[in-house]
Amino acid sequence: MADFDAIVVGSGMSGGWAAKELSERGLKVLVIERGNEIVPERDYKDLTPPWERPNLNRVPEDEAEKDYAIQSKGATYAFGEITKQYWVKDSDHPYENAEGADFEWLRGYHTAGRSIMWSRLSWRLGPNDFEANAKDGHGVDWPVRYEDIAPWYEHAEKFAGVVGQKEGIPHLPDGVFQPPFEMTPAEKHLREKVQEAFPTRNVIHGRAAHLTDPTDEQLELGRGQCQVRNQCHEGCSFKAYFSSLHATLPAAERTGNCTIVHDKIVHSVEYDEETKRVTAVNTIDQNTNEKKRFTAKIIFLNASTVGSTMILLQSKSDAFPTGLANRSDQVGRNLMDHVSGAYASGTLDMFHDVKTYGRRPTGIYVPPFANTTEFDKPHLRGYGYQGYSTPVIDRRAALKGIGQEFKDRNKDKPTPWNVGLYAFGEVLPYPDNRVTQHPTKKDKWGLPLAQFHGGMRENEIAILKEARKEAIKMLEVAGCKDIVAPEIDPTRLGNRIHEMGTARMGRDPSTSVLNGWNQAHDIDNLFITDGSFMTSSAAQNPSLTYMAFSARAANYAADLFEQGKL
Amino acid sequence: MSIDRRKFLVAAIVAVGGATALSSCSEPEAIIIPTDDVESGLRFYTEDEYKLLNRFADILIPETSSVGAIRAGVPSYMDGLMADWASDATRLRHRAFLSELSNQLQGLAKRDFLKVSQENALQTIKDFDELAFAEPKNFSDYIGFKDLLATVYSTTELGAEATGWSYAPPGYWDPNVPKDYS
Ligand SMILES: Cc1cc2nc3c(=O)[nH]c(=O)nc-3n(C[C@H](O)[C@H](O)[C@H](O)COP(=O)(O)OP(=O)(O)OC[C@H]3O[C@@H](n4cnc5c(N)ncnc54)[C@H](O)[C@@H]3O)c2cc1C
Repeated sequence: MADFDAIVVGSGMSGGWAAKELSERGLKVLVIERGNEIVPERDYKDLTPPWERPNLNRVPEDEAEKDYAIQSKGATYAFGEITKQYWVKDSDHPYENAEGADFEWLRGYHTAGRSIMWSRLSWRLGPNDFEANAKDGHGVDWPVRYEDIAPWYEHAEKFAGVVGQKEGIPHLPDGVFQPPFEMTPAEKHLREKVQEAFPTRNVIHGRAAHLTDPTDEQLELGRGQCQVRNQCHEGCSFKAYFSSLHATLPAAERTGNCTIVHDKIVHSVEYDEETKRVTAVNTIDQNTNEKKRFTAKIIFLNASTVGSTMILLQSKSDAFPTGLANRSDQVGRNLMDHVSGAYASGTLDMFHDVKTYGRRPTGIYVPPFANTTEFDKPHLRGYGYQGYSTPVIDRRAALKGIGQEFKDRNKDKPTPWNVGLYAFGEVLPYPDNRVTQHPTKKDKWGLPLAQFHGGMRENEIAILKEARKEAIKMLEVAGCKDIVAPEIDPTRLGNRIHEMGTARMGRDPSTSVLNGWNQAHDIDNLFITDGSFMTSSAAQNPSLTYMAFSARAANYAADLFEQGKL
Repeated sequence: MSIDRRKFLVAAIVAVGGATALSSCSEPEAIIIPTDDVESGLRFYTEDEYKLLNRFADILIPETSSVGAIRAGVPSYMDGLMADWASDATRLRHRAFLSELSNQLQGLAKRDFLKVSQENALQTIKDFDELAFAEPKNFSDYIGFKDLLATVYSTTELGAEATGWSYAPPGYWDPNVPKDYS
């Protein structure tokens, strides 16, 4: 007799969804989280005023270097004295890069994983994204098409709450939106000029997982309206942005069917050769090293892309000598992310007499156009731009002077606007961009360290070069002056914190790990719905896609469970 | 700043007729520099460094119709920052900067900067500041120092209230607010 109907490993962005859907369908669910418990009412410090944050909210330099050497530099905007609790200590959680690799593994181990620190941009992939691999032959074909996922995107958006505006762009499909944050005059101007000069391009509102018009269901879960403070990387006491902690986990818990345990590192999953099913997970307590085994009829791996991959690689048996569900030898391969490192900004000499009020937690977006509406590009796939605008503050000039002159720098002055476009490009699935177990090195719990291989390649560099050129062109047609567009400086694999692809879906069990339901080809009761299932990366931030696939897979598993098939 | 820079600086100030550089007229002996008291004693700065910091901060962000740096507690915040946040390398650099700043100001004032009158001190810093911003790339530490003081000021409770910076109260978004030039 199994302890639970289903175990979900990991309480982050995707695990929260699996837990919610399974428990709402009546399954008894255990969520196993390796990190500590975060309780918003107790642990969030977003309401701490600046003067009560130690040291300008900066982590002491020695501590940052000793304990957070990687995490502190990856997403500096989200790392500070009151947010360091959301990042792993690199000193406790080392990993290795093989020669020539420079992967950045940025993560947090605690309730809700990185759904606490994320930047909340939420886009659907388009029909073209699900066809891209089949078209150009990179990677394998997705076993699903946009139409299969569209209802689940809708399901995810309705529950999570996403701001945006319907635009009718085929390759960036509309969703269920709450009212967007209005564009600034500079952004409206950019939109008009770019769309006039490039009829196949768009400048749209950022689509982000915030509540601007909460539904009854969202209010019932204790979530409130976005207060426009843009302190979201600190957690949100208003629970106004989507995170597992604000939404899916409370929804799962209120069913009475969901139990969450913390501090338990899942190190392996047991496989029974007779039934050809997974039966249990083995855990080790992060504080006491106590070992514990939990059994269930269904297992969902949501430990994040690399986390789940390591669990698979650690779960070796006679049936799976190279790691669970790894008959295809694809576990750990095709590691993708997005690529940035091309941007342009310029000055719009207009709207001198207006400024903004509030701190909008998102900006604007230029959806991908290369190879979707414009062709003959020197690269495959495409890129989008995240953009912003703000009244120009010449920081250096503002620092000039002393006394009253210096104090007056806070006064309103007529200023032009600064507008910027920052590219996010697609990364192809290369079999040799991969994560493996380090042959000898282990962590403090005796588990093999992750070792990364590979990095950005020609296509990614070509994308950035184009993205830089096109960003300049768009700013020029908008009439921007003093355009600054440094030479491209590709981000390292992992730096965009969108790592994915290491247990990809596909149609053929010999070349992929999962089928179109996120179910292991070889093992009916094993599902993986974190980013590792992604067959290609598209150019859009991926989490909404993880949510949709997680909900879909959980409901599929619940159907099979009800039919007595699992 | 190198020694050569210092020589250049003093020469340049003389060339532009900087008021303090040439004013060797007698100063009253007892100059009172407003000081932000550190109750439990200094943790990083020496007394002289702290006096210099107080004097500089007071002239940079004086008490006017809005709170000044001293009453806002900028110097004691800086002492805590250097003691609790800064690495050895940052401390060394900061200390070297202060010493250089002290030399510079002393050179310009032609006597102990801490002992010159308030009026003279003000003019000294003003001249120095102008020169620094005429050639900002040679004075990046100085500009960084000012930036840090301004950041600390706007982070303190009184400074945050005075500047409206650094604090994001719960609210709303309006992308089209007329500026107020009054
Ligand atoms: C600063 C930042 C900005 C971002 N911005 C965006 C954005 O704008 N849009 C977007 O789409 N994405 C964004 N992301 C990425 C987004 O956060 C991730 O895509 C998403 O969180 C991944 O979901 P996940 O469930 O795979 O992993 P996570 O959310 O990381 O959750 C994994 C969970 O599993 C737990 N775990 C790991 N290993 C084990 C184990 N062995 N046993 C038990 N538990 C385990 C972890 O502790 C964690 O709680 C951002 C991320 C960061 C950090």
